[in-house]
This record gives sequence, C-alpha cells and structure tokens, in this order.
Amino acid sequence: MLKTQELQINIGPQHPSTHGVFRVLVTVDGETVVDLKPVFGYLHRNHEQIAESNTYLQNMPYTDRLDYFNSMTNNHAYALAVEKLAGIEVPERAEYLRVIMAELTRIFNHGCALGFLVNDMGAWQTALAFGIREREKILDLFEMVSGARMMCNYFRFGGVARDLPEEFIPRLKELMIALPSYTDEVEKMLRENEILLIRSEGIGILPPELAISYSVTGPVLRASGIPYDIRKADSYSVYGRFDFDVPVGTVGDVYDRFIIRIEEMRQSLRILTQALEQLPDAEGGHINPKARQAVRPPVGDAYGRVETPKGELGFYLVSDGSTKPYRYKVRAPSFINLTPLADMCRGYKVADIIVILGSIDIVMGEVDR
Amino acid sequence: MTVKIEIQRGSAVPLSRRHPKFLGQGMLKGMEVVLDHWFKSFGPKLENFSQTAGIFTTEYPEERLKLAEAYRNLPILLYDDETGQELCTSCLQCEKICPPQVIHITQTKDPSTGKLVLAAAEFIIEYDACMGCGLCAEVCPFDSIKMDHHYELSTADHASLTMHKADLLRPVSYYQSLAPTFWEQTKENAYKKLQNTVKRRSGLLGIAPSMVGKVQPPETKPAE
Ligand code: SF4
Ligand code: SF4
Repeated sequence: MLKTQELQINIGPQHPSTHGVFRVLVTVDGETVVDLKPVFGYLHRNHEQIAESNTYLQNMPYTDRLDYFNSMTNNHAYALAVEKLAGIEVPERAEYLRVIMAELTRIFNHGCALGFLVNDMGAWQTALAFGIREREKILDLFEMVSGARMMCNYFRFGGVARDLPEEFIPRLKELMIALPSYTDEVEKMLRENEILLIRSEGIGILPPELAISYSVTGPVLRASGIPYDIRKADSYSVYGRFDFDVPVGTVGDVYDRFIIRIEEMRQSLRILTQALEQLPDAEGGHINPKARQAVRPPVGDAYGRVETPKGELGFYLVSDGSTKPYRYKVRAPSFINLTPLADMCRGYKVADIIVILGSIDIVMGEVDR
Repeated sequence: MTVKIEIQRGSAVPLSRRHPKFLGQGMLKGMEVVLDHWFKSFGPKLENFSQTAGIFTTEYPEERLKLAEAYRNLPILLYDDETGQELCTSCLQCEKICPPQVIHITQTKDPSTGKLVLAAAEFIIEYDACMGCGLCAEVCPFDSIKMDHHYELSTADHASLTMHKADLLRPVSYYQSLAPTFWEQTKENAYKKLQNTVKRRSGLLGIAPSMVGKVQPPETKPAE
C-alpha cells in the first residue's frame, strides 16, 4: 500500500470557475476530495442593513443587484412581500405581465446555466453561445419594457412600472416560435453526448433526505426527486391558472440537474403560451391606481416568496409602522443551495468540484448580499 | 427515490435518462447541430458569394443598435427651447426618493425678498454613484428630470462625474428626439405646469445658464 499524504488546496477566490468571488478550501488525497470548506463573504455589501435605512420603494432597485442575472424575479419576490405587508391589490393584467417576465427570466437563466455548466466541463463556449443568443433576444424585450437589460427595476407595489410598448407582443410571439427549436437544439446537442455523460452521471449525488435537511430548493431539489415547486406548492400571482408539469430527477446527480433545466424551459414556454392567450387587454391597467408607492405599512410582518430560476427567494419584512422596514431579511436560494457542497463533493475527484458547483447554478451577488 | 406529492393542473414527471446506442452517436448528433448552423450561415454564399445569414456582431462603435425609447442611463434636466425656462421647481421629490442619495439640490431665494423661488439654484447629481434606477424620473411631478440615452461617459477624471446644473440641462427638443411617444403623453401636462411655475418666477431666476442673453426674461412679477 502506497503511503499518501493529504494536501490542502485553495480554489478561488479569484477563479473563473467559481462563478464570482468565492473560495473553496479543499483537502485532497491525491485526486480525491477528502473534505471541502466553502468560504463566502468576499462580495458582502451590507444589503440588508442598507435596506433597513431605505424606504420600501428605494429597496426595489437594490433587489435587482442580488441575483443580477434574474432581476425580474427578485423584484417579484420583494413586491409580493410588501404587498402582503401593506395589503395592496394587484390588477389582473399586471399579474400576467409579472408572470411573463418571470418565465422569460427562467428560460434565459436555465439556458445560460446549462452553457456555463458545459463550460466548466471544458466545452469552451459553444453551448454557452446558444444560451447567450436566446438571452440577448429576451434582454432586448426587457430593455423595451423596463429601460434596462439587467437591472430592470420594473416591478412596483400594486403592479409594474409601465405597460408594454406596442412592438412588444409581436416580438415576443416571434421569440416564442424560435424558443422551442432552441430547447430541442440544446437537447440534441448535449443530452446524449458521451463526454457529458461520463463527466456528470453519478457525480455529485445529493440524496433527497439530505437535500430536504439542508432546505435546498429549486432545480437542485427537484433533481433529487422531490416535486417541490413554489408555483405549485404555494401558488402566488396567477400561476394557479396555468397547466404545467414539474419535472423531477430520479438520481440527483449532475446529469439530472442538467436535463431538468431543459425540461423546465419547456414548461416555462407552456406557461408563457397560456399567459399570452389569457393576457387581459390594456384597459385592466398595469398598476393599481390606488396603490401608493411611498408605502407606510401597518405594524406587522410578512414573508413573500417566489420560485426564482435558482430556487425559493423570500423576503421577510417587519414593519414598525414607519416608511422604512424595521427588519429586512433575504432568503437567498443560491446561498442555501451552496451549503451542501461539501457533502456533494466528498469522495469525488478535484475536477468534479467545478462541475458540481456549476450544476448548482449560483450567483455570488445573492450568496454574499 | 421519487416522492409522491399531489400536484394540481399538472403532474410530476420523472426525467428519462437516455443513452446513446453506440459510442460516438451523441457526439455526432451534437456536431450535426453545429454543422447545420454552419450551412445555414454560409449556404447563401453558393448563390452569391457576398451573402451570409444568421446573427452577426454589431461592429461598435462604427455600428450602433437603436436604443429602445424606455432605455435609461443617467438622469438629465430639461429646459424649454424657446423661453429657456427650466422645468424644475426644486420640489426636492427626486432628492428624497433617490436610493443612493446622489441628488443634491439648493433652492433659490429671491435676493430682494428673501423668499423661495420655484427654481433650483444648484442641482448636483453624482453620476459616479448614480445607479440608473430611474426612480427620480418616475417621481418628478413636473417632468423635469428624465433619463438620458447617452452612455459613453467613461473618463479618467473622476471629479468630472459630479454633474452640476449647467452640465445636466438639456433642451426639451433633445428629450423629444429620444423618446417621442413618452413626451407626447406628458407634453401637455408638463407645459401647463411650466406656465404656472413661470408666473411665480422673476427676472433671470429659473432660466438655463446657456440661454441667458438669448431669451427675454418674463415680465410677470412673482405672485404674492
Ligand atoms: S427635478 Fe422634478 S422632482 Fe426633482 S426637484 Fe425638480 S421638479 Fe422636483
Ligand atoms: S436614477 Fe436613481 S440613483 Fe440615479 S439620480 Fe435618479 S433616483 Fe438617484
């Protein structure tokens, strides 16, 4: 028996495959991971404390910067929490507009997450280019409605900032014709790819019991075989009116987390098709005219949560009756999904860490806040 | 292991795991997709050699994409083309709403009476810290502060990014060229309010510095 020695190595904090400023302290025995310790906090910018010194509306643009990939869904969760706290009604058209934006966000986030995952496996840029191509088209639409591509700041209490411009619906319909062929293309290109199968099958298995005890959410939890989707489990907005399925994985490895995203894009497309059919006309108004943006909610607390592309994003707000939140807490999916990283990586090779990390799909802006 | 949970309007579908029938099949399929794109892009060359199809990089800065009307970058202030009157009344609403608190307004006092005049003496926006959220433009009741489309602001001189009133003022016609439909919607309201404001100004107070000397100051006395 060869005598071996354990070695500690540092991945990150500045490393292209850690998806941001993130450090992983790995103990290896040869190529095998013995233990691993994630170190967060390099991107900490005091989000919660700043939010407690801001008024409720002033926090809306700050939520864009949490998960800077999916600003629309961040806005959605925060708007829901404040509406719950202050008892604000949302007109029907606004609800549909919110769902359309949220599902478009999900499609491009998953498309790019797949691309980045394949990037991490070493297939430099080809798969990602396909995801980015579709993302550009969707960001053009976002720019048209909200004025910005990434920091949308589009949601307001009781609705959305402005109604759709004229050319939005035709452009969206065009895109809806193109998107199914994109998902098919990605599937054909990668689903049976031998290299991808070798790198992902049976790697980074997260058993369902462990996933639940870590309170993992989103595609990572569903890939472990638990059909928990907040759009179904605690239906918010108008999600109760759409038919869609919840894809679940069977093994809980990287491969499941890979294909679940392709399937979820398909389900999002189904929701989008139905939302476009049911979208009430502009008379409904895009915002509740009675809702004041300078809210002063009664004393109390509220928790608003949505299913973002990465998992359950929740805002817990406590009001003391003033114009500023007394307590503002973010339950960030990326952060919580990252905690079982050590359990997922133990026993696999060093190169698998990067792939497993990629399959969780994190954004450091949200992990560190 | 799959947990059974009742789901309404849909079901939980277990993912099927597919494997290639022979080694290399999956990779060949992938290459087919890429080749397909290659032929779609360069196929038109067979008919006409200068032709290609597909998506191309915009060759910035020679080529530029058309910006959406709603596009927002950083805020500017408006003044009327003809009279040079600024639309801003220094009501401080934008200063209050600004999340990173980068707007700093000094209100004007009439030198003879010492009373406040509806005009800003100084209006500073720290462009370097502005997050471009557009809340100031949304909240302004006088349609005075609007979001600019100009995005080439990079500079090595940090201090130059603190914009004073004279740097921020743009004529209404400039904003109209950026966002014609938005201006069409608010035009009437904005001018009505401006007329009211002008009635309560006197002399050169509230006239854009670049227009001083080019326009006649209004003769109306400030209302009591
Ligand atoms: S720009 Fe508008 S909101 Fe700001 S002080 Fe002037 S009038 Fe008021
Ligand atoms: S765009 Fe936002 S950050 Fe910039 S000055 Fe206006 S309110 Fe402040």
